[in-house]
Amino acid sequence: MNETSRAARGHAARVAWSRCAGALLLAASLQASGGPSDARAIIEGVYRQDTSHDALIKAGFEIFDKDGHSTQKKFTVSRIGAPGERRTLVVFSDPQEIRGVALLSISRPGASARQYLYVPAIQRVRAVAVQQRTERFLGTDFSFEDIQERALDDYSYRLLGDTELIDGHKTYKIEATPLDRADSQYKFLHYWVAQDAPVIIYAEMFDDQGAKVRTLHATQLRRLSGIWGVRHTEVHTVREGTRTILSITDVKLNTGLNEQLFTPQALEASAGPKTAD
Amino acid sequence: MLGALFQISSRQWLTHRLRLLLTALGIALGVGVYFAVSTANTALLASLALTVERLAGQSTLQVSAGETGFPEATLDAVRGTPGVQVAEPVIEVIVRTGLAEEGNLLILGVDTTGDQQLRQYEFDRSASQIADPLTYLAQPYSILLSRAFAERHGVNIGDRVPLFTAHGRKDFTVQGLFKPTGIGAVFDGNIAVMDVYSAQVVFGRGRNFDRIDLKNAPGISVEDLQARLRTRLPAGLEVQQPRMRGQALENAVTAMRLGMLITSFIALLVGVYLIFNSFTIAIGQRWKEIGILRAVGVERAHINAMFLAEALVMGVCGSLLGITGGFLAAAEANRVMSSIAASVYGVVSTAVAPRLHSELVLTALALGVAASLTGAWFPARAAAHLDPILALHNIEARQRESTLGWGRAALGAGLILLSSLLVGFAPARVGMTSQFAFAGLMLLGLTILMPVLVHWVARLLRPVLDWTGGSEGALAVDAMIQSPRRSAATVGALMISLMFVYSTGAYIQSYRHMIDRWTSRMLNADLFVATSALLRSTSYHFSEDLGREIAALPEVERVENVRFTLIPYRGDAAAVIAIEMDGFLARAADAVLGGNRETVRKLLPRGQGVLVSRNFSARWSAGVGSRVHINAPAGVLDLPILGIVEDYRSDKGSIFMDRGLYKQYWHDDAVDFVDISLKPGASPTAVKARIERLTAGNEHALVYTNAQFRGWISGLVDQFFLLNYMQLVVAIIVAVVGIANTLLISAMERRREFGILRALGGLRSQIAKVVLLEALTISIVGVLVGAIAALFNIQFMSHTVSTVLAGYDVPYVFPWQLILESLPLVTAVSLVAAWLPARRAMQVQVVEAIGYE
Repeated sequence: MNETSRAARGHAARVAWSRCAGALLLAASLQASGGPSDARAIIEGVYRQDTSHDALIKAGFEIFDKDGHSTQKKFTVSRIGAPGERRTLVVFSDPQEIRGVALLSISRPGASARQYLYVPAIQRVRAVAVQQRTERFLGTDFSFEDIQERALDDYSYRLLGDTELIDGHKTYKIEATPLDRADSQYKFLHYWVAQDAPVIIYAEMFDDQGAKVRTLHATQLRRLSGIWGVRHTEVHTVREGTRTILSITDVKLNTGLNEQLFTPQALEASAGPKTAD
Repeated sequence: MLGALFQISSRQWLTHRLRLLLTALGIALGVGVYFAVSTANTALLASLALTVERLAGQSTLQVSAGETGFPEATLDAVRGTPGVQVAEPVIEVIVRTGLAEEGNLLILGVDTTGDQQLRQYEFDRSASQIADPLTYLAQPYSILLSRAFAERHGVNIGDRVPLFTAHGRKDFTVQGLFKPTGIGAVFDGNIAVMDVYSAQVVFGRGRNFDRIDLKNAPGISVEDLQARLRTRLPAGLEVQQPRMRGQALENAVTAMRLGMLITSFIALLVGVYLIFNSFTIAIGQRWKEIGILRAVGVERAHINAMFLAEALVMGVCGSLLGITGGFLAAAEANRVMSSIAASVYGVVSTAVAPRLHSELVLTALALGVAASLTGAWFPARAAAHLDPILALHNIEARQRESTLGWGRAALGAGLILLSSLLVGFAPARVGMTSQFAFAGLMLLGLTILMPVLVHWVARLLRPVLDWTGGSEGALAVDAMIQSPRRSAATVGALMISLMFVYSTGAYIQSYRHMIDRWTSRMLNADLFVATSALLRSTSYHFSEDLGREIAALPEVERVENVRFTLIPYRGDAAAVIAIEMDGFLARAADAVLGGNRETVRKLLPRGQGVLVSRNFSARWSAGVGSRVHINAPAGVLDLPILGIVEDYRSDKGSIFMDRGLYKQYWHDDAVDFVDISLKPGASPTAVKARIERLTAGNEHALVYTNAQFRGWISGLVDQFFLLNYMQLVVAIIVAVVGIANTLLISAMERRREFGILRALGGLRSQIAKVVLLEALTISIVGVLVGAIAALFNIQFMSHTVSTVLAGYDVPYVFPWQLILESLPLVTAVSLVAAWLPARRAMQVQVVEAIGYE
């Protein structure tokens, strides 16, 4: 099945942290969207299932180098706003040398997200420049392209199969191909979407030569307030043999976060909204 | 025909191999110096270009404001300018490391999250990433090092490197190592990268950037974007293409290159004299041979061609010898030039090994051949126009020289006079080439006048030599009086070398005198604290806290914080020296020249006027009462010049202003020097020790007593003149080769004369004495004529060269002492050089010598 994009291009990308700690976590029920009619509809169901107003998440990265040595980073993610206009604040709490560092992402419809970093040691907020999409995100195995959630309409989709079992879930295997090659480091991506929950539980990304660049494996599916998500995501960079585990320990939805706190000014004034540690 | 003539020539030169070698050596020396300097210079320029290119990366334009930086809000203005694709802030700092035996490190403060769009970094640990980017950004004392530097010191990721910052000595954590490609290959790896916002804090830049590097968007030319930015940005900001930065560095080494090129041309000029001498003598020896050739029908043009072909071969041989030697010496020349460039930039330059450039080889070859042909031109013409009947006549008849006409003397004197007038009165703006042409006229005049000078000076010396040297002395001088043209080439070679030695010596002496006057008038505090062993550091500064701590010492009467920086001024640059003027005037009011002293005392400390240095005044034709107009970051300054001071810290010229005014308009409270005046009776040495204890381990502070500071300045002047001293060495070598060459050839030429003397009963020792006394006479005449030439050349150096290179002239000083001191040295060298010719003259066999032609 070879689908071309049809919907309007106004559907904005959700930004980095939504992807890491949100998009992989929160997903609408596939059944709620009325069942998969084609590959595009399956992916659309994954992207649009999140209906929460805000979220407060505790999470951590464990980053393994090629020799197996690991470093850990703990953080909280506060997220507010509707898809396409979200503001996400990540505040690092561990280890000590990055404690208090805060990253604010502000999504804008039809434009790339703005990012601001607050560094307590120099007591200032700085704009973070738009990254090259191939760059690693803060030393993890996620690239900047990976954490910027993809717009549905930027890809064409093809259903490759619907019988593979992963971690006991029957899956749809879908190939996503960027419509504009200049927009992506990948030539194509393969997604495995669980048929019993609208969540991508496995993915493979391929470069220009068709070589596998990264794999993503999401486990520990949970449903909270009717929204599906995963609590454990492992990304593996094939060529370098490094991997990163994103673990989510706690999720609270619709807690009534104050939008005024999600601004660069608020960051500089108070090192960002205080979140539970 | 030419083939047969060439065979004749070859036989002649093979017979006179030593002469051939010495003559070729004369050319080789000039060519060698030229080739070494040019090759080293090409390598240095390539190194500078490579450095600038790698540091600039893909930047097509750079925004800067001299050394003072500008508010970071400018970045938004630049990024908001249509046509700007990428704009990234930069702080560039040269810091002293706390590592043993390591020099300075260039730290590039950049926003690594965006800067990779402009510059190439390749990190070691993974394909293109910092080990832990978050920690790198979160910890201000984080640094990324080049692998070359890290390997030199056994440093790895996570290790700490001590560096001197605005807050004293701090340990920086290595967060990444980049490979020796892109910027990693700059300055032999003495480069590090850190976060630009951390660099602001660590190096006390406030919320300023040093530079913005940017790239134009497709569809707009660099020039158009440059013009657009110039109209949109405040007036004090410069928008330049990166190569202009390289140009500034190139300009810094121009004086050095020029000095060495002058040396090489002087050596080549001496080579011309040597060739002239050699060919004149060769033709004298081959007179009969030429006469026979002419008698059997060989045309004049062929005779001329034969000698010029000989000169060509000699030029080629000498040049090849010079090129070989020059290339071997280029590595050393490159090292010296690089070290001078490093003192300009602050870190060692990027290594680019000298290599053979075909265009330089061809130029050197052409210069050597041209010098050789020039030297041989007149002797060859003389040979071609030889009357065959006279040529076949006896040797004594042919050696009679024509009388030294007044016409020649008038022409020579006229050229010298014309050159003096042009050097004295032509403005500097006529250009260096014209100025050198003026100096060339003087040398031409002296050359034309040379036989006359030799004749008359020899006549003056005759009674002295007769009295001291007996009949041998008189004979030695008579040889010169009767045949001044023969000695003219030797004296000419000596004159050129000595003129160069004397005028360079005079220039150094004059400059030193000026520096002494400056330091005694202006730098008369009791103690000085400096940031660098060079005159200043462009990036490491003290905070005012240091001055406050020193002022709190009980022995200290007064402390002045001095800021020394470069600012853009009228499309160029000028130095600003900001100092607490109350304190300065209390100790150095006498240093202010011109202007009303009371007005200076009243207005200067209030920031209502400035002082300017003499070279600033000369450079911009701005005297007392004129106004300086400066676009400062916080507004436009338009102030009257209240007085002139002597200060030689910047060749761009200096503006002295009150520190309060500077801080107000530049938002900069950095300190480069602390000048300390002590209470009466306090011991400078004891207070110096206390300040050293105060700063130990925290500041990179160099504390000097007044005498030490002046000695230090003197040392810097010596370093500045290092090249001149090297030039002197080359000039002396040239002189020695010249003397040895001409005396040897002269002794060979006079073989018949010596044979006759021996036949008349002259002893071998008397013959040797004649040769040695002639050498002595030549050295005395050479010193005198060299001094006369220096008389004019000093004017050229102190007026023209100094104005063009430094922006001001230096007082005319005639180096009597140097000339007197050089006389025994030159005499000794001449006698040593004459030893071999004297021995050969002693060994002359009477019968063989009388038959020698």
